[in-house]
Amino acid sequence: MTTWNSVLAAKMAPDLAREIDIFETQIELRRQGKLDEKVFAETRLRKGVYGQRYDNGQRHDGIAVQQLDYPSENPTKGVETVWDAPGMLRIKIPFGGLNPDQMDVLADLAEEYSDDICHVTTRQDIQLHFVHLDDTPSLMRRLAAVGVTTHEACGNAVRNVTACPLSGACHDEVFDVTPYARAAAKYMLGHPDFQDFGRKFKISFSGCASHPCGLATIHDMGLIAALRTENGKERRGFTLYVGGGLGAVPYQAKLFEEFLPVEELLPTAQAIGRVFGRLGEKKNRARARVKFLVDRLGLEEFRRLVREERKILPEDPRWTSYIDGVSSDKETPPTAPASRNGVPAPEGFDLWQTTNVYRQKQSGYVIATVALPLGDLSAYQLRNLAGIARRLVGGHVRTTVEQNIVLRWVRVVDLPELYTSLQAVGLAQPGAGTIVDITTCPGTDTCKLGIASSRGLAEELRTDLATQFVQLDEAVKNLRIKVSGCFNSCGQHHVADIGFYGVSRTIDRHKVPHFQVILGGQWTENAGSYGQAIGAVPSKRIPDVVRRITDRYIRQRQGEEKFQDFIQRIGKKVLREDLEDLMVVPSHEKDATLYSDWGDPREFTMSDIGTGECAGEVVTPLQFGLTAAEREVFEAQIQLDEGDFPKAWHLGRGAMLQAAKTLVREQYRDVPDEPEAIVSEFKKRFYDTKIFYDKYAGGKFGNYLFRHYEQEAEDFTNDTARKIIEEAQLFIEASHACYARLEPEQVVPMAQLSRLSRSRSRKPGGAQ
Amino acid sequence: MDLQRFAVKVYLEDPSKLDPKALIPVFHRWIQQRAIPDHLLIDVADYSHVPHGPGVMLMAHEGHFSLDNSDQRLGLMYTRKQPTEGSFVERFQAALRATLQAHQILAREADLSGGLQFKDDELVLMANDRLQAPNTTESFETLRGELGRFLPGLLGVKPTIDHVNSQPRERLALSITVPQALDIPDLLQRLQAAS
Repeated sequence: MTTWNSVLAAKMAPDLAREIDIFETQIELRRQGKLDEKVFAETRLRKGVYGQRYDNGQRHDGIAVQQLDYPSENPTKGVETVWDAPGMLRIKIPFGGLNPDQMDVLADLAEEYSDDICHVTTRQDIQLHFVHLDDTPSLMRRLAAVGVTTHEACGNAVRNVTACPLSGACHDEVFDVTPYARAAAKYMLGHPDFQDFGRKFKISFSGCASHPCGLATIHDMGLIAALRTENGKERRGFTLYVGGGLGAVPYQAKLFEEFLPVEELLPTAQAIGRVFGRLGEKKNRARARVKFLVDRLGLEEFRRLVREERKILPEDPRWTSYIDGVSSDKETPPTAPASRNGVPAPEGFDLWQTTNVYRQKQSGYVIATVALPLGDLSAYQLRNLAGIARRLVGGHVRTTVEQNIVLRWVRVVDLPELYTSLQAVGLAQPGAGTIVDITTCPGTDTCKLGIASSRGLAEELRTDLATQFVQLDEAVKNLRIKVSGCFNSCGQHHVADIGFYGVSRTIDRHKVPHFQVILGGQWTENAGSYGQAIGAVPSKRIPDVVRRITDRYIRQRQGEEKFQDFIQRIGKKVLREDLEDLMVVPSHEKDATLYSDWGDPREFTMSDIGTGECAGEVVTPLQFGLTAAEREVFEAQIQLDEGDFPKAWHLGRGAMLQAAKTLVREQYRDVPDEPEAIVSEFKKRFYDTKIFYDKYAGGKFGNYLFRHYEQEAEDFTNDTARKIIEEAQLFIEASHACYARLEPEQVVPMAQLSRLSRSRSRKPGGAQ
Repeated sequence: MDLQRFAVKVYLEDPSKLDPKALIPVFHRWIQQRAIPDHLLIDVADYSHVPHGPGVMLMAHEGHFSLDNSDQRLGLMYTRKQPTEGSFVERFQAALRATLQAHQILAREADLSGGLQFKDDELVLMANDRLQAPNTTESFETLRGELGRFLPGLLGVKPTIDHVNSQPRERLALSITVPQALDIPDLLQRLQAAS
């Protein structure tokens, strides 16, 4: 039968294709119960395959909690996660860069496997919802064929690398950060030094310090373009901030380095990755981000550790090999620029142009923002947008952290045609970057952790404000509203002028959806300050909150006073008093309208909250490594069954090498990939020391590796292949046993870990 | 043709009479009542803010029901997600049955101004699988041939089957029209008898 794998084989990058093949095998292994639940969950998350609300097999239908009887409850695909339950697929779009071919494929996938909707996230990803696990390998192959991956989109890994969507075209940028963001994303993907984290790791690039596009201060690693003149020569670099993050406890990133030369970007990131992997919290998931590590160690100590680590990193040519190509890494405008010269404007065009069009620094070109309500667009719209992008902008498209899409290199003369084309497919909504352009996380619509309906509220506010948009005071028009369904801040409520996050209150044993009101956040200057909560108001009354606050701002604003300054001057106490009557909830018997959420007629409940997967599962590199070895044995068995004995034999030997390498890597992080080095290091560290020895069998299992490494089978037969597979299985079991014996010895006081790990990394054959 | 993923759509007689959001409480109630046979109803999704989109959706394990407007004509669409047993004809009949079951409940739905009225002389079959059924003349002819063999017997009249859109990136879609409105309860009965 024709499959996407066979049709697209030649179009996929070999490494991506291999990753997907491996994942497909892992799905099969888990289905057969041969792969541990937690290992599979983290594996799945690192492939971007995420859980979704109700995937624990139950849902409150408004009357009672009902079981959702999916056909196959076993195996699970994670803790309390039913195999058949639909989930979300997160697709990484580094720096938001998309081309029309990729957009076409995304549209196709949304139609065929999802719910017809592509959702742009606050990290410039694209998410598809209601996707079935069994379909994910096909989805991934179709994406890989156009150069897109889901790899490490979720889980404890480096998430999508974000960047300012105006990069390369912005008047205020120091330089175009795109090539550096691209290089960082490529370098870190699958890199061993970014695999052993207790939580996720987020990086962003900004072209300037004043605008919010890159949101540097909310990132684990925020980079802002900088120039320095040395010996009369201008040098490119970045101002580096570390340890920022939102979440329940928001932290502003701290200045790590005023000027980090571009040559040092990747090695410094790698050193940070190593320090975070080594010293970051692994058990307490609520404190496992870089921000807590920086807080615990202190910035000075963190900096010292990173610099020490940097000094001992093995040189990697990829750190700088891309830099020579940076000057030529530029987008090509589709055609020569031209001004409008009296081309008539269609109805609605002027308003749209005012809010959605940014003049590029390149004369005659503009960037047009396609404002997406709630970050959503349908497959039909995306496919048509791809066509528009091909026709009018040479295919230069980016997603934004405000959940929109920008079309770059629009010729001014083409603007009316662009507007008309967008309008024809329902994509010409004005108000981009204004109060009607509300950012929101998925909330209770699909998120397992959602408390209140952030999307329901955002849609209510959007439609309400859109009807009055033209009449709105200019000062209010440019405010930002951001909504999260819970305290985890996926909607980035802390950095909005007016932010909200979902909470619940209990009134006479009935639950009432509320939103905490957050005021005083700063969106500009890369999210320069975070807002604070002034009180929780029932969800259905939040539109009144917005009206009261904005009305007071219009009435009492002094001159050109900014909103943050106004909030500061008036004071949160007074502002809260202004809302207190809205906080009083009538009894359920008196008025039940507040006891349900926006867009959901069911009586509000907290019982649908499931186990979140944002934190992933802590799976050590050793567990991953031995699981990979087991998978290779499984693949060897398949080849044996299919009669390909040479392939089966080599996979069996490869499985042993993988297991050996995994053990060696526990002591010698930078062990090379060459079999000779792996076998030699394994012999020196585990065999000659008898650490690998079995209590009864002695060094027997280790000898399997040595024998098969030294001598290939003379004849690849069913017997020789079967034998090596059996021996490989025993070798892997012995590796597990060896690790179990070693594990207690690895429990050392935290204070010693830093020293120990540094010495481990220093050189081959270093301290144990 | 080994087509497992497809969608069936029937159109509303007068779309202007329906506020799509009115479907939200209705679909939630359907979940409570387990209103669609052979379907595990999971949740309701509201995409009515997306023009040319799937509108309000009732998500089920086996497939989704939506008040779809992606082709700029509001209608009830059933999109099969899970594979089913049997020949193409049997699979198509199962999908058509699910569509018409929802159609019939909507037609009687008191909370929607006494029920929705559908345009019962037309339906669209969409192949939702670009691997098995790319949008080509060849695929269209194959599907038209398959449908042409059994639809006259099922519908009691020979339908006209047209290719909706020949753009290669679009899904293969076939419009099936008959001269007079079909008797849907009667058709549903025949489909149930055939299952």
